[in-house]
Amino acid sequence: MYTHSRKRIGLGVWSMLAAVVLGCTLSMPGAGWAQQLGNIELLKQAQAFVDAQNYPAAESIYRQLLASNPDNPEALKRLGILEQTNMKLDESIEHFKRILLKQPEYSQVNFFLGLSYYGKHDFPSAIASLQREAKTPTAHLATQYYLALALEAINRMDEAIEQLNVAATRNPKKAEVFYELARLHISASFHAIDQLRKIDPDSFQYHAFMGEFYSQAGQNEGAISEFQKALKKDPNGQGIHSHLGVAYYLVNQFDSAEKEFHLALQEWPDEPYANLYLGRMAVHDHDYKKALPFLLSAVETHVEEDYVRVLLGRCYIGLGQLDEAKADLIIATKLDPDDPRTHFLLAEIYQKLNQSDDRERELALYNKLLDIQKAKEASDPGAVTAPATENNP
Amino acid sequence: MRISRRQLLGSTVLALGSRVREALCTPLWKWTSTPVLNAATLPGPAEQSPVVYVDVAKEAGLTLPNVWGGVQKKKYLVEVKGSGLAFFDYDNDGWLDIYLTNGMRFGESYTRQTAPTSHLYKNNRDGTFTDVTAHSGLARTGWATGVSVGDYDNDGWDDLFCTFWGQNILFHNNGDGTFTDVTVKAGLQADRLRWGSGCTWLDYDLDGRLDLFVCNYVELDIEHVPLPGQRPTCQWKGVPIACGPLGLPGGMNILYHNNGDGTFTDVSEKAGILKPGPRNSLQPVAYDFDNDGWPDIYVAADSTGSLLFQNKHDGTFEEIGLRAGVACSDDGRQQAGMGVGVGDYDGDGWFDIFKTNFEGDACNLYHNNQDGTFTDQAYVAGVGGLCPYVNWGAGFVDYDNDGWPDIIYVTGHAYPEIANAGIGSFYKSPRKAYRNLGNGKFQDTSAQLGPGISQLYASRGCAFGDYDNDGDIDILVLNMNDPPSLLRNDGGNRNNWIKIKLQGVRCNRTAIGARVYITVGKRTQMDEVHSGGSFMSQSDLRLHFGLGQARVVDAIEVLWPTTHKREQFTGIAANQILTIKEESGILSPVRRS
Repeated sequence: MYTHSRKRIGLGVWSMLAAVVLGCTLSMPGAGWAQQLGNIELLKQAQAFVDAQNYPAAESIYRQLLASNPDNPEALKRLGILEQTNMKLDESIEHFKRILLKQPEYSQVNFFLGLSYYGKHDFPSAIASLQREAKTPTAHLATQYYLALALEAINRMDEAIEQLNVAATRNPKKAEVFYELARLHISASFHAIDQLRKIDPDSFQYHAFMGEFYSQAGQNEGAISEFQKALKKDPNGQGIHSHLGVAYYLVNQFDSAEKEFHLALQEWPDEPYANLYLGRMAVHDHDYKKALPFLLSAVETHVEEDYVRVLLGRCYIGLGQLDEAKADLIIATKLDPDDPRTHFLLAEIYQKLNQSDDRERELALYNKLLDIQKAKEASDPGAVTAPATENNP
Repeated sequence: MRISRRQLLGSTVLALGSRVREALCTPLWKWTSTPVLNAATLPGPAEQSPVVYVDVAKEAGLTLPNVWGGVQKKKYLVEVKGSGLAFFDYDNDGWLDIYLTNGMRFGESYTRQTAPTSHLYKNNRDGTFTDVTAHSGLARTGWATGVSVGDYDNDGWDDLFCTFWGQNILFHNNGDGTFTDVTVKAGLQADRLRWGSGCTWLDYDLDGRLDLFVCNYVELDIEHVPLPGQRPTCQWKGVPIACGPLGLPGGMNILYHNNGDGTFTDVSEKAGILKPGPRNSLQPVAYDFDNDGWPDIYVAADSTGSLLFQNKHDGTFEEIGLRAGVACSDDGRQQAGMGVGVGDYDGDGWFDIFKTNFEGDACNLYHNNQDGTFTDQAYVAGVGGLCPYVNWGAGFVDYDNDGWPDIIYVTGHAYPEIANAGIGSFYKSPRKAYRNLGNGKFQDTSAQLGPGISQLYASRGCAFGDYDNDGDIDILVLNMNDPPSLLRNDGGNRNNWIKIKLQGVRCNRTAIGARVYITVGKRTQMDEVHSGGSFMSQSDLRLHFGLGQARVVDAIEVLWPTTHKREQFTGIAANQILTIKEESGILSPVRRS
């Protein structure tokens, strides 16, 4: 942790220093115009030394500025940052505090003070400084990120995650933020699952969780095993049958899948996946009368609605209700304009309606979308390997 | 309300504890999980069938294992797809011989003695075969994929065209047990590396000479294709597998016109074969689908739309697959078409198409609507359930000689890596059989047809034919990296049958494209002599018809291509192998009982 902290502080300072130069030069107090211009030049010069990693030369300039004005906040801040960079954390803290004594909200000083405390592993002080910084109107963009790190360091995980979520909103492309967020979630999961296992490694909850875990990982055999164990522990355990049905379906055990989906519907008649899969299986069996009520129920939940509309379209075509089929397929084209199959099915409807021009148009669209798909695949060799199947539509 | 699947299943992905720690540190495909499914669905107690298939390959002397890429892992797509084989009578002795393709393994070096080659086995007429490869001229090392048989020079000896991932080869049958590679002389030398897959001989212009249609699967350059695991998406259900075919450029099919002087001309462009653009074509079959007397071509394609080339009678074809309803699934999804069988399963006088597809998909049974379109009747007919296996070679076979063509196909997953991955997929899996009930429906009889059907292999090509001339259809199966299976049909000949070998005179000598109608009572069956089919394989060129309990065929009618003349023979006794020569009638019947 210590090594990481040093590295983070160094990186943080370097990336931020350039950004504050301009703001600092425009807000220098307590000097005449000519002197101010002179100070700006000196600060520029110092920054050039910092950029060239000539830290002694930069420090010499800051000290020259402080000699003429010992309370020059910008010179103090920069000197503190320089000291922080050189891991002289106590000195940097002293300088940051001197600024805050007179100007408690001086731009981003609380942030750098927090970083110095963080570097010293004084996490409560770091948290306090960073929290003060967060309240200022010019809070540094990385405030929540470092606040989260400090909170994490003293095991205040929920607050850390909360801060990282704020940071993620403000820095949506910052990999470090999402890296930490992912780490903390893993960590939290580890903790919770370990606890779950310690309580009872053969509990309903543990098996249910492991079933979901295997499902997510595509390990459907493992998922089936765990869900079965969960149901053995608690035959009335809610929410398992649908998951188990999906797992059975994905290993092509369709009879078992169907049984589980029906059990899921006994628990909750609107269970979206049970309805979707039962409808889907019935459509595949060309049993459209059987499929229709399931699909109508599934479409109400809007779960995977584009696919459900396609299934409804197929269903209505099979039942000869072409207007209904057309309506659902047109909605499906709007929900997923890139799916060629909807146009194929629309073409089939127009063929049945003897509307040859419409059919040709839809077939042309179907071919065009297929070509686009192929072009995408060709531009990324190996991007897709799985053949399109009923299970992999 | 919009509920994401993630929400529904919960959001936790990772867990603690030794098991989950293992999960975190172990690639998905190496996980150990409680096996809750058996390796494959084995048949339980089943109704006794009068027909059983027994694998007699070992007794027959077919013991050499196939060599085709890695056994446990495969780096490149070419190692995945496999190859075909042939039942054909190379020495004209009236008994089916066997040609087995073979491949190689990346990273292995071979000497002349150890290099795997294709094999030719001569039928000893006693249920056994002798390996005659050494002197046959067919011993080639390479990635031999497909095979089809036809007498391209009309000299009376069936020749062999073999496709390769590499240079395809035309082997001329010298009539003395040897073959000569005439590829260059015939003008069939390719100018670059291609992946030839299925192929078929046909006389598309009815000039009496066999032309050649060759599928090319994808453009595979192993120097530039990503390796398994190199891209996160080169995987199947989380298991890294060889990349492709999607993402690789598709191949262009080729139609060669037979010039009549031992050479061929590529007429693909002129004939309209290139018009649909690149496809991942695997298996072509040539039949007269629209009953106009001219052969059309259906091509099963993998992950791209399958093709139907309608013969326009002027040397050109029009691709009508999409409009005809045989390009994709009934909801427009492009399927992973592998193998093809063609037959008139409902006896309406029009050829229907059976196509095998990938795991988790249904096979297609395209019923011919007699108006240029087809309807996928797989579900209605009872052969359309979502299949847990990857399916390959297939055919319409009247295995019980009841007069109705049944369906048999072989299976086996594409990727050996999934064998122990715990994802519900099986690498080795059983064969499937469906009995035609004579009413447009089929019954799954896989569990009733004995150990030859239920045994587990990663099979690819299969060929159908009566190798022991006992009047029922046997099956030769290529098993990837295993010895082949020779599935002897025991009991099929309890019903009566008739087998017809046609010999063309005005038409091509092999009589490819000739159609035979068999009438018994009110029922008429038909079939056409065809080359290539199933999955990159060649079946018996003789036409076999089951007759049920009928002891006499009321009428045999032959419709010859080229002249379009019909010849009819009446009152033919059952249970014999007839040779009918164009314009000469029946030659030397061989009665068997």
